[in-house]
Amino acid sequence: MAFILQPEEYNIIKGDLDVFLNNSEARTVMLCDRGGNVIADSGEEITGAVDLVTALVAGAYAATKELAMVLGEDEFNAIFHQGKQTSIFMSSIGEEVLLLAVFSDETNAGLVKMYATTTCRKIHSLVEEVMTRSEVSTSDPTQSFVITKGNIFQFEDGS
Amino acid sequence: MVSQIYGFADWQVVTVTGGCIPGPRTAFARMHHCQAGTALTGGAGRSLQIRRDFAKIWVAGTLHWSRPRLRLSRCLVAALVIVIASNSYDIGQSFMALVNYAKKEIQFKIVYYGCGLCGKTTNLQLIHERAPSKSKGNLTSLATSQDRTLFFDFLPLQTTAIEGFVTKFQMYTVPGQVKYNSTRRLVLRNCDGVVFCVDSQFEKMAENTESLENLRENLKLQKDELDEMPYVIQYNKRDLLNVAPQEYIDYLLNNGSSKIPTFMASAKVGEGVLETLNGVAKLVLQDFIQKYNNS
Repeated sequence: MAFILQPEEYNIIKGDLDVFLNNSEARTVMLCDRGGNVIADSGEEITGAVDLVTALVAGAYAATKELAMVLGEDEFNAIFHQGKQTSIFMSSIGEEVLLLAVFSDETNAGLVKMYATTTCRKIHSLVEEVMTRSEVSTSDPTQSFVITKGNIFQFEDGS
Repeated sequence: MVSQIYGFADWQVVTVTGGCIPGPRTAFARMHHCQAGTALTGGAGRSLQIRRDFAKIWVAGTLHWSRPRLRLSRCLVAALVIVIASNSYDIGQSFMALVNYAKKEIQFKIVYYGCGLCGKTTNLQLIHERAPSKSKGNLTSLATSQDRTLFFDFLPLQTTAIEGFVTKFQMYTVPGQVKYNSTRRLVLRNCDGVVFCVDSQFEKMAENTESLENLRENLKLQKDELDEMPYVIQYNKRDLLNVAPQEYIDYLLNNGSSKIPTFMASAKVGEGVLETLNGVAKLVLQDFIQKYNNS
């Protein structure tokens, strides 16, 4: 099964993230799945580390879920890590998607949290619809996936 | 009182059997700020969460608010709903590849699995060392001070394996030590392909077998079957002296009716690593394309 995102859905999600970014005055906001794959992002790009951030966030969320279960909770819906200059707020949307916001000390954690709650609610129904979709439909009905010929990967030493 | 229902797929069952239950429907309406009647309508547009909430409240109300003479029939109906719901909806179904038509990106997750010190991290280190810089990100290792993987190693790779799409492969390794089984389960979530690394030394065969069994169990917990997903076996450490012959390892680990692709390797010296990577990547792509070109 795959998480299939059509262009119009992506644009809706991107729009919601842009609004969240502006209202919360965060530096970067991202949407990713629980496997660590980036779905959409907005704001400053974390140079060379977008995939890493979402992988670590997914891992951190999964790890704290186990902690939550020990404490009698299903999971922690939101997680906040505070740094000296940069902090990160993570929130779950449904069962498969995470929203995260990276922000500096120029904004307020409460503001980020408040707008994150609103954004999660907006995105939730669209995400649920995408996840429960069982058929793949492309904008071009004649389009299909074709693997390029040859090896998928090549090493620099020519092997 | 029923306190929890896991998943509810066919809201139409509720439409037929729900009848009039003022208590639960009113409660649902209040929860979701809608008219009580709309709980049973709305069709496919109704979100899964709302349908779940309704099912929970409906069954709970059925058992609690029913008049005594109706309670038995409603209990039977409630039981029927639960049976239908649990059979028609997979709890914790894992979602795998991510296809973004707007950005023309497809993302896959490949996990290197195996017993402790079998060479999973070494594989990724070598790939990172030799992959072209435009195709790779940073290799991140969450490890102990003794360089034993604690959580996972992560290496993002990028290629254009599918025409018109940027294909991203997120490569992970798991901690091999037995005590980190919970962590292995977390890393396996949403994976599209597995490389099972085998330590080819004779004395490691028991650990290899146990690790493969562990992989099957962990995948089963997330409703996946190893034999139904793309995976390859890498017979690593072939450069050492005390290694078992391929036929012996095949007998122990690759003895199904259909043979899993195997690759001889010595990750430390760089042999067989790229072949393994290309092998599993091709399987993952073929599996993905087969499913979605035919849908």
